[in-house]
Amino acid sequence: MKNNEILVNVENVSKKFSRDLKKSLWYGLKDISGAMLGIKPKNKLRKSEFWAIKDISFTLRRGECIGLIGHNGAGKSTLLKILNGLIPPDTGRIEMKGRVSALIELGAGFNPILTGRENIYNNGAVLGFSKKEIDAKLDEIIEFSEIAEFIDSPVQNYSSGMKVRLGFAVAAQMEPDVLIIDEVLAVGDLGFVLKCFNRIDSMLQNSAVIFVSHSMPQVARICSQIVLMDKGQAKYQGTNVSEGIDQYYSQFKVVNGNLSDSSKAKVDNFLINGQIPDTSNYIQVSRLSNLVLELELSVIEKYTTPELYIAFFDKEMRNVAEFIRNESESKLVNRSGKIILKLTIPEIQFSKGLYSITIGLTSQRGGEILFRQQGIAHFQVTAEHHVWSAFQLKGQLEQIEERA
Amino acid sequence: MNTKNLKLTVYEPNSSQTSFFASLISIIKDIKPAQELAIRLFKRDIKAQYRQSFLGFFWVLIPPLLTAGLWIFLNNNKIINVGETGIPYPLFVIIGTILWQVFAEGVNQPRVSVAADKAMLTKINFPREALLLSGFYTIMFNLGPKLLVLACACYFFQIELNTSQLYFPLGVLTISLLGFSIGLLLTPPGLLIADIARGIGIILPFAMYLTPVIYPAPTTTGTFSLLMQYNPLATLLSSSRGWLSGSLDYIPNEFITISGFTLLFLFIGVLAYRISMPIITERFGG
Repeated sequence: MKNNEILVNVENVSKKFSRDLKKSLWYGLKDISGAMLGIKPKNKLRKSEFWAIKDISFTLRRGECIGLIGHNGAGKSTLLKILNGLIPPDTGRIEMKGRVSALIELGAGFNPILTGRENIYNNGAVLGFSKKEIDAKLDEIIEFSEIAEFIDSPVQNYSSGMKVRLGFAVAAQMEPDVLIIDEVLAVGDLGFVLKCFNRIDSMLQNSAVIFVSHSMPQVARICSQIVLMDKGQAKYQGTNVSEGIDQYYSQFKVVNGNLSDSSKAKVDNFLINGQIPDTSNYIQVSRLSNLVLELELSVIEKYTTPELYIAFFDKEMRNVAEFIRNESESKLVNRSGKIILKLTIPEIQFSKGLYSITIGLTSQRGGEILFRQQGIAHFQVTAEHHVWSAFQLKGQLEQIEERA
Repeated sequence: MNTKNLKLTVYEPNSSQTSFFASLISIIKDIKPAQELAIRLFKRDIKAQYRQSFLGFFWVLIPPLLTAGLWIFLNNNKIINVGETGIPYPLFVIIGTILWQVFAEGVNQPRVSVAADKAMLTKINFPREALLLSGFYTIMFNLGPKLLVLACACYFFQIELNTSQLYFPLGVLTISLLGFSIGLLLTPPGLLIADIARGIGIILPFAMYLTPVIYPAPTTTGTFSLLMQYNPLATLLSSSRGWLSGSLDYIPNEFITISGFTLLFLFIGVLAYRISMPIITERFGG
């Protein structure tokens, strides 16, 4: 099997949509009559129309996976519908080779009154399986779904997670050349999601996959190239998945938490490497340099030995690191109501990207929370490599001579 | 895996510049893949419908039997006088209302079938014709109890078996297909705008009274009989009733003409459906 044949070829695909419902329906009727009479539609925008997709092109080979990312309304789902052949493009051309399958809606064709077993056949038929094929795969499907106990109960008694299980179990039987996946794995418990990913991984090897998701860890895990969409256009396109994800995150405006005012304690001043943090221009810290945080706190005097807590979050809002004072070091002492602190973290090993800092103050270790401020400041780590994980570890790699 | 035999699929902007004949061939080609799904969807709907109902089949018969009962009552009490019907009036009305019901179901079914699986249309690429076929199967399935009632009625009124009754299935099929074609032509706009479904709901009962369902077609000349002449359903209904009751033993020429037009409408309807489904899917969003 040649592993590099092109299975998907998308050339300059565009699609227009109407913002106004009444106009949209009217254009729809006009388009239908036009199409009936064989009149070619014009490519101009009519009133209240806009380009939902504009000039998207890419090619995909067997074994490759392209990730379509972008914020809500960027045009990803519309593009998927065009790729899935549900709606025609207004311009451009799409070529697909082989059997095209879509994991867009799980459990399509289910009827709630009927049993799980009957609905396996319904869903299977909608996905293009013949009765024979399902007969042969029925046991496997039921086993995969892990709901054999309830397979003869009506589907309306299933929980949403169970429906997804059954739907995926049927879809998992597909053996496509081109696979289109749209955020279907949002539901289901962790065990099942992992199972689904294993199945998708094995489908990946033999097909070209188009993957739409808002979950960047998933995108980073399976995609070999990426298209970042914004207002229907490809804002970034390439094989540097981390770069695309980075640009995706930079589309979201970062909001610094205000220095909060609290009756018990507050932050008066906060400096990163001697600079005041600013959301429009992040403080740059190069990897493996020292990170110095300076804090000026006001604390009510009755809390004489408060405790500080500092946490670092990445753009996924993952809590990636924390700083806790060593017990053996001398305690913070509050005498005058003001505490001035300087924290030095040597040679930070954070990977390239944007991080936010959360600060908390408690009355003592494990005591009452005086205040907690999420995202008090942001800083950007600069580095040569772009890695998905939060840490790029320092280390030395040596080759050991082979022992005789 | 032999990669050279992979099927190539191309999506391009709407350009339906194909000939009448080519379209016909592509429609016939697509019936086969749609067939299996259609049967599955049909079974699904019927099973679900009857599993949730105690009276089941009874609901198929209620509308025509109620209408028939009302007119039998009015006629027996001499409140109305429909004139000479040739066969006992109750039988006349039962045949008429049941045939009308066949037509009305034909008009409504395509839109109902497609709208019921609207959610699937915007998500899954499956042969769209399957929805129409499953709707057609539903109509055929619902014919069963109706024909049974007609058979009972004929037995009760001692209608003798004769060869002209062999034409009757042809009549029922044509009535059903004419309704289906009309419904099919109204399906694409009916899916986009709600006015169509409402309009059908109002016009259908009204149209029944313009068709010789509960009264015989007038034999005198005048505007009314002219209306009957140009109402294709009048011909279809009267012929079918004649065949069943044994008063007509040949196929009238008008019937043949109307059957031809029905097939033409059916083809245009399927073609319109094919062409408009992507446009409709687009407007549904979802």
